[in-house]
Amino acid sequence: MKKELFAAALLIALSTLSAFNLRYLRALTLDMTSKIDAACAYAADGLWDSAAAEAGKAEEAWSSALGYASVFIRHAEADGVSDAFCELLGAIYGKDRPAVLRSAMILKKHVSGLYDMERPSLGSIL
Amino acid sequence: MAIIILRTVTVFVCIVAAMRLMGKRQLGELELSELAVAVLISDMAAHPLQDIGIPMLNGIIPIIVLLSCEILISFLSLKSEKIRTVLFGKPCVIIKNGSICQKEMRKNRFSLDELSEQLRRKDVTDISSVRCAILETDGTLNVILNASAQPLSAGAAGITRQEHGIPLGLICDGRLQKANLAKAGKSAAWLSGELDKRNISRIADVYYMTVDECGDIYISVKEKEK
Repeated sequence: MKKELFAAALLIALSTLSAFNLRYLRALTLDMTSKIDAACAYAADGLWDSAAAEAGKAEEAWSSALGYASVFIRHAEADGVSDAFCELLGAIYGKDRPAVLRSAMILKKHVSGLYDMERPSLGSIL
Repeated sequence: MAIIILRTVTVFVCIVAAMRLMGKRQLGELELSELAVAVLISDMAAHPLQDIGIPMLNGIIPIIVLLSCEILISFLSLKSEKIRTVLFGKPCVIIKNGSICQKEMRKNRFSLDELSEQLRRKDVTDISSVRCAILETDGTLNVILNASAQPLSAGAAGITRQEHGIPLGLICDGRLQKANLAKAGKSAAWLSGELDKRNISRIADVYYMTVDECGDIYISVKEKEK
């Protein structure tokens, strides 16, 4: 009976952990997305220093979460986000508005993908 | 390369632990769910080994989930006959009183070649001598012969035989098994005496030694290395 209870407890623990993982990823991706949007808004107004600062904050949030992300997310996906950050920051430092918008869109797609991949949905399960 | 080595060792330990936790039954003849679990575990565990870009948890979590599901299903099937029937099916009689049940053969998609093979494994060459042959849920065939075809036992012949019981290993590969020595109710002094009788000076020289309930001893001495 102990083994069965342990097995049931293990399944419940895994389900709970996956729920926490989803919550964490949701919070992280929303935070990063809002900072990227803010950086885009600053770049559109020509406030390049503020844009760089916001993008830098978003990149910092990602860097601090990278260790955790590598444990749960495919490394190719994590690398995709890191590469997209480099593109965005490069566009901001180059003061290239169209490039900023383009790379921000790509980065937000990658970032939202981190949460969408983990979120259980009919499409993802099937 | 170091990552692959470490991952392989970790996954290997996880698989062995999972198989060990699932129990001895799973290592013998497998039921349907057990076979599915064993195949899935080995396949899933291989993914993080083939691609280090895949997190190792992607291999370990499925093992844990499958192990837990298997333990719970085994428990439920133990407690409920209905669940057991749904998951594992029921044994069926393939041969009755020397006659093959063709309907059951068709129902189980059991061919005559397979039947012949299974009967040969049981040393049965004459189907008419079979009282009952049962196809078990794990696909094996168990045969009960007619009384006249069964091997003669000592009891049937009216012969009284001594019970030898299970032999206990006292020395295995030169190492004394103290727990078995105590179980057999023998002492170290007795053991030394028995070895002395056979001109064996050291325990380390013995490859295998057993004693049964009647006190019959088997000793195999280590071969001298050339």
